[in-house]
Amino acid sequence: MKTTRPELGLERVLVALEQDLLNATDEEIEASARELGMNPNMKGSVALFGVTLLVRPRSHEKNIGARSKKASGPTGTVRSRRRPKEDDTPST
Amino acid sequence: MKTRNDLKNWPQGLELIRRTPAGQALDLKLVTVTDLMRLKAIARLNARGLPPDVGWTDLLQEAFTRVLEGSRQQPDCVPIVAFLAGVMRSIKEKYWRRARKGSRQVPKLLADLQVIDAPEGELLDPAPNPERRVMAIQAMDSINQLFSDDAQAQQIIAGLFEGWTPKEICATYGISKTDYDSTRRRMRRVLVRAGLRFPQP
Repeated sequence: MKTTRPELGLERVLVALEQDLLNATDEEIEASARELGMNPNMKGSVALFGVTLLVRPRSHEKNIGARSKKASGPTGTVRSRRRPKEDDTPST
Repeated sequence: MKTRNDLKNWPQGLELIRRTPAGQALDLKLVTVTDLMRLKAIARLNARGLPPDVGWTDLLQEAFTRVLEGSRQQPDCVPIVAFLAGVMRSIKEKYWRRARKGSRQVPKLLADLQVIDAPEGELLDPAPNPERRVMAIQAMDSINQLFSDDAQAQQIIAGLFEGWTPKEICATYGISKTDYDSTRRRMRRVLVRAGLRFPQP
């Protein structure tokens, strides 16, 4: 009997389910967000967490996400760290 | 010896990125908020079966980056969401191709380091690597979990896994066309919710 390779079967399932998501109407998606208590039009809504707002470990530069970090701009968008007072004292 | 100035080199832990490629696309009106929610669900779906160090946000932001940079151009006839979904799929495939290439180089590297004998003449397994297989099994488990209280949905998933057409799935499991369609609608609702829920189920 022929057995389906798990990775191939998974890909088939993902392609079919992705098509389901593409076919979902805007109303369905908005209704689901509301049912989950989310207000996507609100600034900083959890519905868009990971999409328009990202939190990641600072050392995260090794994989395919590194390019997106570059495109998102330099550290100008990141809150700067408070400088300890000791740093201002001249070194002897 | 550590000095006070070493404070500057301390890891700052988490980094907050307020201006993401997806956010830029929203500002440029390439996508709507609803498109972004849909793409979030698609990215979360596509990240299933990938190793944990490659997250769904990586897939999503990388796809947006490529579109914004112009390295991937949207054909006129393809809607932006479907196009970005395709870009995410191609990024994922590229990742696996690179991983497979890397795993094939391991025996050669070990031989170069004289850890093992030269693998000349040794036949390599042309199938994807065992890690990918294990991750695929785990991902299928988690997908089945999403539909754990819906027997018909699980049958449809099993049929899709085998590559069957809707007609074949209905014939195999004795499902009517109406039941098939309504089950797919139920599955769609579950998928949308799972794709938006925080944290991810």
